[in-house]
Amino acid sequence: MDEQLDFAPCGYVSLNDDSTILDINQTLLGLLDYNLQELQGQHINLILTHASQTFYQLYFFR
Amino acid sequence: MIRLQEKVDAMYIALKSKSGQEIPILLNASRNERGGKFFNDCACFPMKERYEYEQALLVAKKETDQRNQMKKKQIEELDMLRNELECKQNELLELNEKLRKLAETDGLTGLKNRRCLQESLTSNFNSHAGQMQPISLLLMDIDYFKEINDTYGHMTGDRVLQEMGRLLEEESRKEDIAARYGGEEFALILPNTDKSDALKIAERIRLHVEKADWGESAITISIGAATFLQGDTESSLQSKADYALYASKNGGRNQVTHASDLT
Amino acid sequence: MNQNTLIRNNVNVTGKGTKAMIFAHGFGCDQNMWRLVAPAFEENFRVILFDYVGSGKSDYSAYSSTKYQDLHGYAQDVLDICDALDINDAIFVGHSVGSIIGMLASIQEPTRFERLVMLGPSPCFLNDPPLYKGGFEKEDLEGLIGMMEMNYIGWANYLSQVIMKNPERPELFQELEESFCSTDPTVARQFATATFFSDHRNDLQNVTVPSLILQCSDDAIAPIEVGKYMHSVLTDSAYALMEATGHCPHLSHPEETIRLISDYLKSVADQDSSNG
Repeated sequence: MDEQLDFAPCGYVSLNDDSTILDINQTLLGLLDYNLQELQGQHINLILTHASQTFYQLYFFR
Repeated sequence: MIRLQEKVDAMYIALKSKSGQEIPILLNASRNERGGKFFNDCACFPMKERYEYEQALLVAKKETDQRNQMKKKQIEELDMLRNELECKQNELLELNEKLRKLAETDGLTGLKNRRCLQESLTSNFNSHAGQMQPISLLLMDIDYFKEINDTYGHMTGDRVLQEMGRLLEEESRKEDIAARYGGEEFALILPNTDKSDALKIAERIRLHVEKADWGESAITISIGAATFLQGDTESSLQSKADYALYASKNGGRNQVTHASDLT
Repeated sequence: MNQNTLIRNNVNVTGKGTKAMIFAHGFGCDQNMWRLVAPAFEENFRVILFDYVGSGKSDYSAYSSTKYQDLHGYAQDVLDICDALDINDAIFVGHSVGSIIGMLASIQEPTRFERLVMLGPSPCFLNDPPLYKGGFEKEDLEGLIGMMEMNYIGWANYLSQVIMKNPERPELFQELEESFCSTDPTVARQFATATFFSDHRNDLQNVTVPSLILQCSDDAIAPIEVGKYMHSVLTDSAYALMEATGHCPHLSHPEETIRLISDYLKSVADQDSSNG
């Protein structure tokens, strides 16, 4: 990831169709208090509240 | 949405930090193909303060909605009460009308009763006072009614009275008022009717009674007529008609006498 | 009446077969959700797609808060469609709450259905400790509805006013419909409540139509425990754990979904012919 995106003034996360986190920028990692290794390859549910997980499945991912 | 529309605009969703803290964000996303693979790229904007404003707005809006709903319900209830009141009022009016009819009707014949006749005479006099509209009054009495009662019983007597009521109703014009005056006595107010017309009507009624089929016995009536003259009151008119009826009885019954032909 | 039902529920019939195969969508979706799966069955079945009243392109004027306050009102939609198209012995494929609705319809009129295929079904979303784990606490569900409010239904009056005032901008209306498959927020909220706060565990024992439960891995809405629970209580039910993750395998893993449904139907057909 280039530095501009990594430290852009907004969070960035890229998901595949299995909702696995492929990439995530430093801004968002900082917001969530994780480091890259902890989240890369993990399911998006790890950083969603329970209600959001449901909402995500109902509305975002379809 | 990301698959259906290949993008997501301004979706509100809550993230969870490592320590479990909830972080409200606005999310935009687009679906992009890179090197033969699909990526769902998301941009997240924290909206902590805005979220709180919106929450407050949402609460206020909910309260307003609730209040509006309550108001609507109350108005509906008021409407219902008003309708109920209207219904009750109409019922009351109908009931009063019924009572009024009952109070002025003779139970046996369905004609007006004496009290109503008295009132009608008065109101006719009041409305015609000074205008000199001719008004006539017929008083009628069934001849030998006591014998009918004694011979055939009260049931028959009552039936004769009822039949007489029907006959009078039939003979009277729209503006006339037919009433049962007392036992076997009947009265007919004839507004706007002078002496000669009053006599014609009286004679027609007398003849009608004479010709009618009364079953076992023949029935006749005696009639006294009076027409309003300058200086008359409702009671003087009644006295005159009564006097004329006496004259018809004394003259041999089954006949019509007009008060002005006496003396 | 028949014609009315077909318009009311935006019923679409395709396929070359004679046996009916009904596809029922779940909450917050419409028949469009089946676009990757339904065509695979058109060769051998009479494929029937529809929208529940209050969803997609159904007739919103047919919506009644009383009728649709719980899932039985939606079950009546299914039965009305069966009646209108004179369907018996159908294969009913339902997603999520759509499958529970079909199950309720099958209890009422079992002869209409030959098999139920249920994708990610849950008879009760709330946990009921110690024996039942639906996957949700009350606060979770309230949070979910709160999120819908923040995104859409909470601002509905405002939105509808904007739409009313902008007749020259029909795309506002369209956006709403495309995003949430419902342009009416009251309907969406009531459907959400009927879906997420219902408890149909007691109805499971009354189901007589054989069924297939397709359980996704890692489904936040219908967890594996719930699928297993359904399988253990439903008579004559088959159970398959899918490789697909999430709650919408018909979208994310259409091939696997198609394969599992086809295999199931083939195996029961073989059974029936060897029995008969």
